[in-house]
Amino acid sequence: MGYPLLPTQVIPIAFLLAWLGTCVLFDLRTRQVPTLLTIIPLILAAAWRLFQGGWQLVLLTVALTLLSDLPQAKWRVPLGCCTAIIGLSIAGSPDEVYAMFVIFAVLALWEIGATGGADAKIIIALVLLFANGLLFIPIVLIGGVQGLVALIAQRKTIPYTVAITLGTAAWLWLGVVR
Amino acid sequence: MRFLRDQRAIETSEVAVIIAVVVLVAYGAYQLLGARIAEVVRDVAGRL
Repeated sequence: MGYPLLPTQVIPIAFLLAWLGTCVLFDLRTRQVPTLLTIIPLILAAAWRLFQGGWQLVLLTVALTLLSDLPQAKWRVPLGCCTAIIGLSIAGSPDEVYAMFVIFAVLALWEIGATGGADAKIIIALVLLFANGLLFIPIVLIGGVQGLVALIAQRKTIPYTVAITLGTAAWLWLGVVR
Repeated sequence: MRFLRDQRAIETSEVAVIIAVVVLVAYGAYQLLGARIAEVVRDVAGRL
C-alpha cells in the first residue's frame, strides 16, 4: 500500500477501466462478454508479463488452459493440481506465488461452474497484467457484498464483472500499483 | 479451446459469498500465522 500513481500510469489505467466498463455493459445486456473482448486483453496481458520476465505465470496459464481441454474430469483435476504445484515451485517471487494461487483458483472455480469463462479470463488477464494475486481480494470482497445483497433481495441481478471492475478500481485507488 | 471460447458471465450468488468468506478466512489466517509458519519452516530447513 502507499504507492501513489504516476502521471504516466493514468492513461493505461484509464484504458483498463474503459475495457472493464465495456465488459460490464455487455454483461448487463446479454449476460455474456464477447470472446474478443476477453481473449485480446488476455493475450496482451500475457505478452506484457512475458516482456516483464514473468514467464512462469504465463506458462502456468497456458498449461492450465490446455489441461482444461482434456475430455475426462478425472484427469483434469489431478493434472491441474500437479501443474499448479510445479508452477508454485518455479515462482520467481512471493507476488508471483499469490498470482499463481489466484490463476489456479479462478480456473478451478470455472471448472466446477462457479464462475463464467468471461469472468475467469478477465480476472486472469488482470492478474497477468499486474503479477499480483492480492488484486483478487478486493474483487472477491465486493463480489461477496454483491452476493449478500442479491441473497437478501432474493434476486440474482448483479453481474460479477461489476465486482471485478469495482475491485480493480479500489485496488488501484489504494495505490498498490508499483 | 473450451476455456477460451466460453463467453458466459455469471451473476453474483451464494457462491460469491462463500468465496469471499473463504478468502477472508485464508487472508486472516495468513496475517495471524504467516510469520510463525515462516519461522517453523526456517527452523526445519536449518535442522536439515
